Amino acid sequence: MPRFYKGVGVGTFLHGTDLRVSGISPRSPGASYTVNVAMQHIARATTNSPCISMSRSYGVAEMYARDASRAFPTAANPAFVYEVDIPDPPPPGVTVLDPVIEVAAQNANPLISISYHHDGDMNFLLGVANPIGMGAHLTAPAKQPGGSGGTRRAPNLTIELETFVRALRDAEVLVLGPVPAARVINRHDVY
Amino acid sequence: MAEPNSVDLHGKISDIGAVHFLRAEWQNPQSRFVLIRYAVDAKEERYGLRLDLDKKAILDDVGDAATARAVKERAQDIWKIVVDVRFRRG
Repeated sequence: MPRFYKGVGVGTFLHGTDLRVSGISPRSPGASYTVNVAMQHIARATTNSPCISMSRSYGVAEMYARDASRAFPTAANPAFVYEVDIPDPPPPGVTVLDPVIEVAAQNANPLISISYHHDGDMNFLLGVANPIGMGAHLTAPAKQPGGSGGTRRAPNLTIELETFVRALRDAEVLVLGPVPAARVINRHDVY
Repeated sequence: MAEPNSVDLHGKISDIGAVHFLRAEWQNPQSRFVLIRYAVDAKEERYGLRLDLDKKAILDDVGDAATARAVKERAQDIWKIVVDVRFRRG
């Protein structure tokens, strides 16, 4: 059975309850899901979403729990990483989406004029994955054919590409629908 | 547990009504997030606001919708201060 991990920072939306008892609900359970919602959830700062982010990676979930807390975690007030087992097929009312597949399915034609592809150099994706530490790669001018007369500019970056990179970086899946408490099988303190 | 690094925000970020920005804190120099400490009516709040450095966005809400929006609009200014200090300190 696939195992996923959910990091929960101190003082955040899900921190006040034991998810092994309550299950996991999204911040906005009544909101509609679209691919655009998924992209906003992953690549922008949209927190009021019908999606629940989880990771296939314990390390990623632990990093979010520790670093995305609203107070620094301590032994007395730890952040948490929950282990969540979701069977295939999932329980009724639960849908697990791979954001890469979701976005790719809507960008399957390489012949359209506006593409998710960037036109920077081979290091450009490093900047997308790590905008603080490697942000220089984001703004390095896009090389253009000699004599083309193109305006000096940074490479193209679409929200679709940001979503791909961040979802892959974080080994992220999106869950729609409340996750039943029975599927939340373990909790780890993080501090 | 490591002591947090911090950047003083007093006087660098304008108040929003009763909301006064105090400092930005982080424990892990590699963290994508910093914690913005703030006071309401001169009393520091127990929980800070998470600033996502990748997204240049504050993830948490303060007060009513107008206040929350105004606080989030300070994200870019705080981000500049934090990134400048983090790059200089390493």
